[in-house]
Amino acid sequence: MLEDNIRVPSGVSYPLSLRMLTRKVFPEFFEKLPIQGVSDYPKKLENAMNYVNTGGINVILTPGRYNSAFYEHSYLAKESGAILANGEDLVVEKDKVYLKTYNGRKARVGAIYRRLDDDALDPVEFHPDSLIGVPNITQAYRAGNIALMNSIGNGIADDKGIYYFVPAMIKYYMNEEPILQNAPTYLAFFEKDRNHILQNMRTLVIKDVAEAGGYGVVFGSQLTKPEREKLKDAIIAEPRRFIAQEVIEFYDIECLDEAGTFSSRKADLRMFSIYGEDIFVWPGGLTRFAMDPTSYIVNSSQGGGFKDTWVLKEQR
Amino acid sequence: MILIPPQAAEHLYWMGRYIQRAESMTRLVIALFDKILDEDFDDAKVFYAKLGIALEYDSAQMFLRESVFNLEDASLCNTINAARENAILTRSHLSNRMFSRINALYLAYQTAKEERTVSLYWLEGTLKELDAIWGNFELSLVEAKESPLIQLGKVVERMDLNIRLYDSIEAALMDVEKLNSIAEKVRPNHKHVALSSSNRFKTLQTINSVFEALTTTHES
Repeated sequence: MLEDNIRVPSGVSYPLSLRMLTRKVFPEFFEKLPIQGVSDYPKKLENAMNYVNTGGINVILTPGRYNSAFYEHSYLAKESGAILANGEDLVVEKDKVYLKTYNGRKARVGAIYRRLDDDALDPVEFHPDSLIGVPNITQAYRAGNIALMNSIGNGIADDKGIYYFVPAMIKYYMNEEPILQNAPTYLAFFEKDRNHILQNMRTLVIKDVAEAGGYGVVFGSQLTKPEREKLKDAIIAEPRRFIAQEVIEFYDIECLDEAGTFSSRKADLRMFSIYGEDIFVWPGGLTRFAMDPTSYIVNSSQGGGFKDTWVLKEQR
Repeated sequence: MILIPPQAAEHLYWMGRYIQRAESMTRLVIALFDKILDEDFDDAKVFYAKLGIALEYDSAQMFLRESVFNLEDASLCNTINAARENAILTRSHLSNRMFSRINALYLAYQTAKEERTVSLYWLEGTLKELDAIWGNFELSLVEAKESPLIQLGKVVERMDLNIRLYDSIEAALMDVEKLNSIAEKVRPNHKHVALSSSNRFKTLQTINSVFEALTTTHES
């Protein structure tokens, strides 16, 4: 387990779209192999939105056309029956959220699957310069008049510093051992860990806790001496900002490259779950692979590719 | 209640306008190509001048390249781009088939642009694709609630071009009833548009302000 994304990450629409295509092109695979279906994800999302809905329509709130995941927002809105809206399409009146419509009427909104960061969500409460948020939506949320998925503040669990504590959380809250193991991780905030990081930088991956999308990830082995020293200084100055992990060998996956030949690429798996009335773990996932054969950076925002993921039904 | 946010409504309307513009201008380019070959070499320059566009060419083929790819803001390629951009922005309101047809046309233009190839034969082929887009739109149930907005864009664009390109207010007036009928679907009880054939500028202004008039007021 390399990291936790409690704010549902984007990417579910890509394997969904790809599955639709591969079923048409290679029906024999789906006929002969016990591959689990994945098409119900939008329905599960809709069910979860309906479950938390406070009375009104469901909306997917997008930052807009130029967000890299706009396709996904649009796809999920279409498939789940929610309305895709920008911040300026929504208005808060008397602590209730409404969707403005072109013909002058307004529709009460009961649940919002928001794809905006906390900072941008409400210029009254958070970043005042945000032009893509909805003024006073936080007040409507406090009043219990709107359900927000993801709720405000759950991004704290995406902080890579929190990841360090997740095995302990599982033990504390569930009295169970984690089934999936975390990569051995060191938190620079703790002196003992910090010393280990500073002494073993060549063999570790150092991550900025606040970054995402593959940014802020540095392989110590790839740094020059001055770069390493500079990073050391940064860690000493702001230890809370960094974690370090042992390098975990990624799964190698065969990919057809641009030259038309198969070659190996590093790949990871992003899974998706939805917590509404119950917890639904999607029997599929986004397999991401690095475009460069020597790279571990699989993030699509940095040129990574993706594949559908087939989860087979248990043979009985 | 039809739940289409104001921005999405505007994009649906403009998608209709751009698809209609692409169709009308493609037909015009085909007709002008023939005129260059058979009648008056400068005819296309005169036509484009009516739109305030200076068009230069020294052969029929160059006219084709200029009008299809090179005219800044006014090329057919740019018009298709704009239609697709609006389709992307309203994708959650469109059927997959509708979107993929618009996207396919965009890709065909991009390929032709990269390969620097254009022929009248190819251009006539794109008309079939535009026909298919409209045909698909008429048949699709998915776009049913969005269709008045797209239709409004289509009819406004047609009326606008009839006046601008062909100086035919009469031809535009033939669509007034249709315009009012669609506007009624967009917003019941709207004030019907009345046009007169005496003032070209005022007529254009009235036609082009219909969408705004139908969508601006917000009730509390």
